[in-house]
Amino acid sequence: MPVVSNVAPYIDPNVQHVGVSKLRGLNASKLSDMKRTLVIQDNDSPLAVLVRYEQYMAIQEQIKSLKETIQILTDENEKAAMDAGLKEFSEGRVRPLSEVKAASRVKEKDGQK
Amino acid sequence: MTPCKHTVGLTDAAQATYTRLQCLAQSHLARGETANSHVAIFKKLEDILETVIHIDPFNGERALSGSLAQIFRVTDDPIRVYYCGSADQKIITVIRIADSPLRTTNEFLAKWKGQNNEAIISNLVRMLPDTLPSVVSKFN
Repeated sequence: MPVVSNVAPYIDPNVQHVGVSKLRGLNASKLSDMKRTLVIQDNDSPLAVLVRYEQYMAIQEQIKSLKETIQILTDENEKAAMDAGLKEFSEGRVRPLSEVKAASRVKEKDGQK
Repeated sequence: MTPCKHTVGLTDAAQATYTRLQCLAQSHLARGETANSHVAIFKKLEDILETVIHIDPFNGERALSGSLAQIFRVTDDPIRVYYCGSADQKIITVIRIADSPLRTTNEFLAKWKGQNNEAIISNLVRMLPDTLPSVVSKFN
């Protein structure tokens, strides 16, 4: 079934469709100079995608960040905890970590007496 | 390279979690149980707050996405620290400290099974927190 969408298709100008034979011409220096993402295809059938390592890692990070954001927004407890923290922050209910540590040291000393 | 130290602040909720984890760790340390898991967990939290969080804290790789894009996170399982702040003012405010891992992706994806992408996005947009704009403007 065809996917029907009223959203304009996104065409990445950095993607280049190449034949499998292109792989044979690649070496370390060509790979490190590679600016575009290559879609490797055989007889017009896409088989694999070749992206720069940095780009791959950036994509992974973005996916991880998106997943975590969705998890927080869709989990009632997570969302409530985040909202509560943000509310406290906007109301200025923030204490320096150094003060929190100093207070706990005093408490600890009092407990030892 | 020694990371440039930022001033770290804790919200009430973050402070409560910090203190709870600290008390748990101290009670075990007092009994000489240095290998107890609560001690290890608190050490992880201390390491995050004293060292890890100060290393390039506002790097985009640490940011959440969409409406939460102004919030950054550092995790060391099971500890998760969420914070925001200002690189110019060298301020980090910890919004939340969690001591349990996030539910797995599969669990929450099951909820969305059968819905198309647009429906999922519409649902997510409806869930966006209202508190964020005021929070974000605090640092701008």
